[in-house]
Amino acid sequence: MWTHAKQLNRGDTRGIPDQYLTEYVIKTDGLTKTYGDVLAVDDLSLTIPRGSIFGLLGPNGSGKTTTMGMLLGLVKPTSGRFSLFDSEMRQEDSLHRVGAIVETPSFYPYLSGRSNLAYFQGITGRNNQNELDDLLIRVGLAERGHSRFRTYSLGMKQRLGLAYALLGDPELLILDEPTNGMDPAGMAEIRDLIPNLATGGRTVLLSSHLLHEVEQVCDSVAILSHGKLIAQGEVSELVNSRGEDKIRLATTDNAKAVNVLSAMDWASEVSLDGDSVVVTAPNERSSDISATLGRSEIYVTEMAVVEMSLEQYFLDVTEDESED
Amino acid sequence: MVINILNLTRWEWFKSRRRLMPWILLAVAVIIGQIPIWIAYSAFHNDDLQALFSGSINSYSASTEVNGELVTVEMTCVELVEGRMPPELGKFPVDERRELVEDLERFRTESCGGTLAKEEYRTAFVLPSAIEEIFKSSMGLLPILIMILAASVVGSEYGMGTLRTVLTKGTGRWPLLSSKLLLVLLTVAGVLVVLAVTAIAASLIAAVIPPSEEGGFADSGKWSEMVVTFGKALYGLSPYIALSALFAVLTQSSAISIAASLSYYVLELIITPLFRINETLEKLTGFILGGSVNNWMQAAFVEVEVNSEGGFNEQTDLFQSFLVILAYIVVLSTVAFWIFQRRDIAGAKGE
Repeated sequence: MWTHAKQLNRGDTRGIPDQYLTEYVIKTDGLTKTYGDVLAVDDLSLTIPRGSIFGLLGPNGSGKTTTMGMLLGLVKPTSGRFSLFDSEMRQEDSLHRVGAIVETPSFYPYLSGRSNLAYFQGITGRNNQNELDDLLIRVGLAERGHSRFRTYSLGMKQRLGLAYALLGDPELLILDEPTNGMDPAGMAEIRDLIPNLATGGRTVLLSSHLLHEVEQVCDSVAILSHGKLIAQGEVSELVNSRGEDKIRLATTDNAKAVNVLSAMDWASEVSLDGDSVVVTAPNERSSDISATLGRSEIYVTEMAVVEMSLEQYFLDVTEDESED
Repeated sequence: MVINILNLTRWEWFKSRRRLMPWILLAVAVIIGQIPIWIAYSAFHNDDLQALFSGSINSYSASTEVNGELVTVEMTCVELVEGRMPPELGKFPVDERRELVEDLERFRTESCGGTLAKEEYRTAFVLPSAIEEIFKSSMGLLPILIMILAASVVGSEYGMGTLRTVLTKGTGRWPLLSSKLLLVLLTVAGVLVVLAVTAIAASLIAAVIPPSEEGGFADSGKWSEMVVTFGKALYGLSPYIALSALFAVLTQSSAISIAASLSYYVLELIITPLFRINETLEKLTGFILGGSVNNWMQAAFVEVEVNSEGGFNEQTDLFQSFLVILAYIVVLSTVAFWIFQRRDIAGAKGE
């Protein structure tokens, strides 16, 4: 049995032929990595279908980079197995079809950006000068392509890393924090670029701390905590899976409002959060909240429904995991 | 696999040639390689320098009364190894003349061991033996430069964190390390060729500007021997590449691997004479890398002699050196590959 993880139903073809949607680009089975007594990745079974933009999320030290390192042959698994492209081919051969950035991309500081790309293109046995020019233009480094890498800013290094990952038009992109060090404009550019990368059957595995970014670009996510897979699924499914909504309000007497609302059986949780009261209850109870507080001579000055976001979901599930 | 390694080697060269360090090391090798040529040239044309560079400034001096006249005979080591006789020799009667010659011969044997004859200096700067001499004299320095180069080629990838970037392109670990070692080996071959070319250039210059009629373009050996010496030098230097590569993958640092390789080199220089003090330990000196490489290189210049038991002393030593060097190459490389294959690759270490 390969995996117990939930199979994804993307519902978005992006022009990808049906037969590709049934293929898994990455499969892991009981993948485990320990460093001495430290369990970095714990029995990870994961499947990532072709053509998806898949987010790998987790707090620092949750095992995201280690997992990516194992997939890329940089880290030797302690146990378990994995396959790329659902095939039995050697890992080196599989990696020819992969483009990756792991953490901050490292290049030769004494070479120019273009020479670095030429080198990494050359070691795969290819020589296509046009591709180098196109990639430099695509990541916005055309004018600095001949400058030495050591003179690049962190954002420029990250862009070169993206160009490096796109060398050879890979079928699978593994991007570990691709917007790390970028300014807001650069981050927005990359965010816009990523959906365009997942065309023609290409799959993107993305890890990022910026959950808002992930929510915008990813179809599906897996969340790791302490090396374990604690949630996996489509973003919309996960966000809606937490059930009840949250309503945030400000009143003339917040402390008293908490007491009053806590007595209502339709409010599962009421808490004071700074200058506001947060009530966990269905949206349609908004009018009941106003009426109940009014009867106690507490008047609502502001009220808004708090939409569940991936970030909120992430915080909730990782918090639950920590408490367990 | 082979094509992959050759392609990787080509691209290793692409980036290595853009680094400053290999060129600095080459410049050091060339400059230092010239020193013995010009010392030999100077010594050849100047007796005082000949004595000085030979490390022998001893001279024979004796006075005796011949036919009622006090005759003083003075001979330097240089004069003695050149086979010159004192001009006063004719003043001596036949018996005393033989006695004086024997005395001079005894002095030459006992006190002029380090003094080289002029012709021996000459071989160091005339073609083709100058090439042989430059290879020979460089064997003290080249291992150091090669260890620095090999440690840098392998270790700097860890420091810069580029090993991750390279390996995620699917190059494979074995081919990558093989290509690096092959590049260093080819670089060493290139350095030897450059040294040979500079030796030829120096010889030609020395021939054109002789301060006396001596020197010139004299032929002093066989050109074919130079090719053999080139191959032997390359083989003799190979274990140092493997040694540094091993330290580099072990320590994952170019700086530490350079330090470790040089320490090993110096340690050998220290323990070899210490081992010679003890009869049992002395047998181990034949298995020390530096000693074996020295023997391997020096043996090329020694005539093969038949020993009392009918065996060939030099060939036996040569074969043992060959095997010891081969063992070092195989063992060090195997361990280096094994470690490189198994270890996790971390990010940049910031060297």
